[in-house]
Amino acid sequence: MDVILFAITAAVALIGAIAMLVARNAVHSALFLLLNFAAIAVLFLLLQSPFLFAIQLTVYAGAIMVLFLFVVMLLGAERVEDTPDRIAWQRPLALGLGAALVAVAVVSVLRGAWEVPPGGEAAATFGDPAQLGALLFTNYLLPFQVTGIILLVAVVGVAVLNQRGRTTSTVKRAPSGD
Amino acid sequence: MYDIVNGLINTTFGWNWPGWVIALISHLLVTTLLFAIAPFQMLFLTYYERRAIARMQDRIGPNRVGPAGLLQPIADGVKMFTKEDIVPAAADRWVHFLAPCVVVAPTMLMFAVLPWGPGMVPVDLNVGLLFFFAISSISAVGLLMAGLASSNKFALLGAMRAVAQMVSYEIPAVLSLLAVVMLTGTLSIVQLIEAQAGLFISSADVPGVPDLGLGWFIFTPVGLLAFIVFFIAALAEGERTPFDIPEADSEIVAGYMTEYSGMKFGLFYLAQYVLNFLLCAIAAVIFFGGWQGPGVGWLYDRAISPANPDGNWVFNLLAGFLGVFYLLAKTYAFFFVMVWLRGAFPRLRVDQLMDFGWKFLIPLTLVNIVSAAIWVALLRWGPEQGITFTQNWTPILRWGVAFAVTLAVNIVAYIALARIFAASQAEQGRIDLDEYRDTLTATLR
Repeated sequence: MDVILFAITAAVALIGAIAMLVARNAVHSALFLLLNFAAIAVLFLLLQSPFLFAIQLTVYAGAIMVLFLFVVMLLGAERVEDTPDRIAWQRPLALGLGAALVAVAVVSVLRGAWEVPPGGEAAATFGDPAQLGALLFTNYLLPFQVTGIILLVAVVGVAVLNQRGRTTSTVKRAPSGD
Repeated sequence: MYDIVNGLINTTFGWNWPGWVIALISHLLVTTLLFAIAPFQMLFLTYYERRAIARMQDRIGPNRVGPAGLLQPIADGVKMFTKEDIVPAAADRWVHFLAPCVVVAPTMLMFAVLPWGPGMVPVDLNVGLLFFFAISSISAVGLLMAGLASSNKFALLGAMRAVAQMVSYEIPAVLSLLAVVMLTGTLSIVQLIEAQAGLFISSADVPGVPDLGLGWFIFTPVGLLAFIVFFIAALAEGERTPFDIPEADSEIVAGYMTEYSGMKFGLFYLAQYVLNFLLCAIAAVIFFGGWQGPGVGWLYDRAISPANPDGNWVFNLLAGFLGVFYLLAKTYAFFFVMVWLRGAFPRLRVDQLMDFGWKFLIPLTLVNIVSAAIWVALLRWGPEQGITFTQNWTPILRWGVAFAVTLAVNIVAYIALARIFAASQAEQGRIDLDEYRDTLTATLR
């Protein structure tokens, strides 16, 4: 039963990922990426972790995808221009790295790495919110607080930029009337 | 549901069916019921809103179709189904088609964790509350899809307004619920309801309080402030009137729904009313005890449940009916308040909406989280957490001190923040006036 569900979800995730790369419309790309994120959220459910499922949905599907779509909407960059890439070495590099990743995957499958080692199944409390919270406030306290400060800096930056825009706009607007 | 079906088939009738058959039957039963209930709620709520708003405007409202106009929503549904489905020529066909589905599906999934009565929850997730709001954030993507695919500037404007509003007001909504989660230490909606037994004082806080199912969080200062913030945020999430900026028909036609007709428009309508119902229901569940009320606990103690496998299924029925009655009564009361606000208040401006959310509601919820922490420290913590001075107090004294301290903190915070917010709004108005005067003098010169 789990294997069937996994196969369906994994297939949906793969289709989403490939279609995201192939789609020529930025909005379609973003929506296929959303499909991929949703499928990965379902994979977390199959691992008995509704908490990670909910986090995956809120953070990636809810927040980040809305942000992507918003940016696409504000820039009006739905259509891909047919001009060649400005960065010429980008495409070969991407192909090379992709090939390396596939090679690593094939080698690890051939060496039997997909077999779950004894006792390696997901624990019943995998991704439990209480455990996760305890880890964040004990073992990973410093990274957690550093992340908090980085986010605070971003918030302060937004407030500063907004204030600056406000004062310059009044200066600009004054001479425009006649 | 599994317990009830299992008790009914294997204990009462003694048929000894295997577990998976019973699981299959109970899951099918629950999903069928939910898919029937969701559109029915929408039909009833539209009728309810039209009649109530008509009375407030000194009209009668729909009263021709069926007794007292009760069949009016069915007639509206038939109209929606038979209308022509129009897709604009410039539209992105697939995204335009999928948008209503992406908006409706999350609202249906949110029913999965809503408990209707004692032991009557489709899925009891240990993170049910988080699941509820995680799923609801998906519908923002659907609104954006509708706005982008329509290639209509009003639709685009409406979608931008809708998403900006939903994203900003999700923060105070979730932060206000976080205070309640701190009080109980659980994210499971079922356990949140069970923690609200008692009589004005939760019996989880003070042992020995008589259980009348009235130990609701609204009776604590933390819960009261959280409820006020949550309800305002729910109005904005459900695009109810003081915050119906995304579909302000006098400004941007109908927002993201402009280019939809027929049943696709009907789906947006359905999603909106189902979302409003769910937000009212979750407010009732988290702050007003959900199905908790006088008599439900007494009845459920005699019913078939995991704790009491040889109860009588008649009590299951009675407890279920009473629980659903309490939940729906609370939910419809909140929906009436929403209709009432629609009849009473004009629409806000976008900048007023954003200022109110970010500069008033969010600081208020942050203070509320601090007072929730004070509540937990005074009421639950002992010497092992480093709180020694409450050691010799009786539970009722600890409860009283916690109540007084959190009430004082919340009232002081509310008054201070309201003054700061009013002062900043007044200053904002002065800046706007100055800018306006400068441009005016420049123009005249």
